[in-house]
Amino acid sequence: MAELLRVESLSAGYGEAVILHEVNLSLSQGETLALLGRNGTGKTTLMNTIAGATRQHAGRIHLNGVALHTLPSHARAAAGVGWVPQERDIFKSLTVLENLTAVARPGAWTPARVFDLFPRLAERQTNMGNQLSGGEQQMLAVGRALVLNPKLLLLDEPLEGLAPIIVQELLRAIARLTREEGLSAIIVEQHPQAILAISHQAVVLDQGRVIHQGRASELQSQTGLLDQLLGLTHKKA
Amino acid sequence: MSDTVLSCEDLVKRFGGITATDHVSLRIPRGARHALIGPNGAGKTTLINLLTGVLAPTQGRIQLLGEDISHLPPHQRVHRGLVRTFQINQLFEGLTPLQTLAMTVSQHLGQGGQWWQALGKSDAVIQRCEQLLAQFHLTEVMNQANHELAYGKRRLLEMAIALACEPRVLLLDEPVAGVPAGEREELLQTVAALPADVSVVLIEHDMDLVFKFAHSMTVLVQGAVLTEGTPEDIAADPRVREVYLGHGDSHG
Repeated sequence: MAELLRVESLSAGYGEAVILHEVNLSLSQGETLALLGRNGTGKTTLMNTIAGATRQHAGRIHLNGVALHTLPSHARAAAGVGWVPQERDIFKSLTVLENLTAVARPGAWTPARVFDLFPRLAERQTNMGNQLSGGEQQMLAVGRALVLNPKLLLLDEPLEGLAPIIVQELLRAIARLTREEGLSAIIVEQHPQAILAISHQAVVLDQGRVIHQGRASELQSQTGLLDQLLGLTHKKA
Repeated sequence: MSDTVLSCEDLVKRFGGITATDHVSLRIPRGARHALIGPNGAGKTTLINLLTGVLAPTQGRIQLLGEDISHLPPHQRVHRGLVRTFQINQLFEGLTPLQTLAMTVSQHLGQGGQWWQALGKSDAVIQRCEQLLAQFHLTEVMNQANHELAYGKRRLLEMAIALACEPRVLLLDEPVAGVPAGEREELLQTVAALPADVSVVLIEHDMDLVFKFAHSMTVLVQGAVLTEGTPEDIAADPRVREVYLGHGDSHG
């Protein structure tokens, strides 16, 4: 499959503080990458950096040959990056439908298709963003990224706050999107097993550096290694 | 004397044409480890907002330790021991964890009015802050601004603030959302290990944790109570599987 995303020697952070150091990764079209690591290891910073919301100190990011690292955030969205930030950041003074139509770009994903995926949002489509429950806001954040019809979806903890039955539905939808529609995704999640099951690649960060890179299925089956990488085997007594 | 510490009767909340809370009656006994679950938009957070006074009910009554608190403002409910955490962090972003906890502890110890004194002057405040910072693994970041903290640490600080108020009833709205897998259980164990007479009501979608933590559960659907029972009863209820749990393994 053709390479979609290439990240080379990336260092980035906030202001003068450098959080990410020399990160390299690549992702093919239709591939999903599980981005794992303990709290504060740079996962969200990497997502934010690809989306253009941090200060990049060094390195290059290419999406389909386009040099993202030279573009402002809104131009990266136009180039095909759909971003679901960790704290949702939906437009609270717009309705559900307006949140979707305000950003929609031509393509397979329309607000109607988002409502098929999340029937709960269809029921709430005239409600304002600030009238939604936390889980409904999460669904809307995912839906808003989908209607951008991106090539690359950045999902920062997309399952948080969602009912188990919706989590199962969303995981199936992400797997289907990558398999059938060639969408690529990077997913940060606190439930590694759930996300490794639908991912092709796994990358583990620690202190802003890549400490493991490989097939998701291999890491999923090596629970000892996974626990070690995520710092779960050396918990304090 | 009744063993119930927190209860509501026939609680209703309407937003225009939407009934977010639909004739809900609940009884939380002393020392409860109770979970409130239900689909997204079922009205769980609205119910917590009603119980804590953030929202005024359209109808119904709320009692805490035998007293009708239906019309008390939120801070007076906190003084009486009804404390909550928020689903979305509500921190003072410019303060540090130490400053945040020192302020909360000072207020709780009745020293909130002594604004002309430095917070570090009181041994009781210092000791309690040190204890909370250690308990919630915040010591190493205690002097960083709250807005610079990793998300999981921010969740831990929310919980530490709630415990600084020494609650009689603690309402936790998705307390471990954003907390890494390895730290979730530890966090819940901290809550489960609270003094036996403190009652805890938990909203959470991580069912592994909920079923380990809760001794009793209420399922809300469309603002109304669908069913109540033990975790075993709830897990076996086909209606709950249909509307909420589903049939797969959703959280690893």
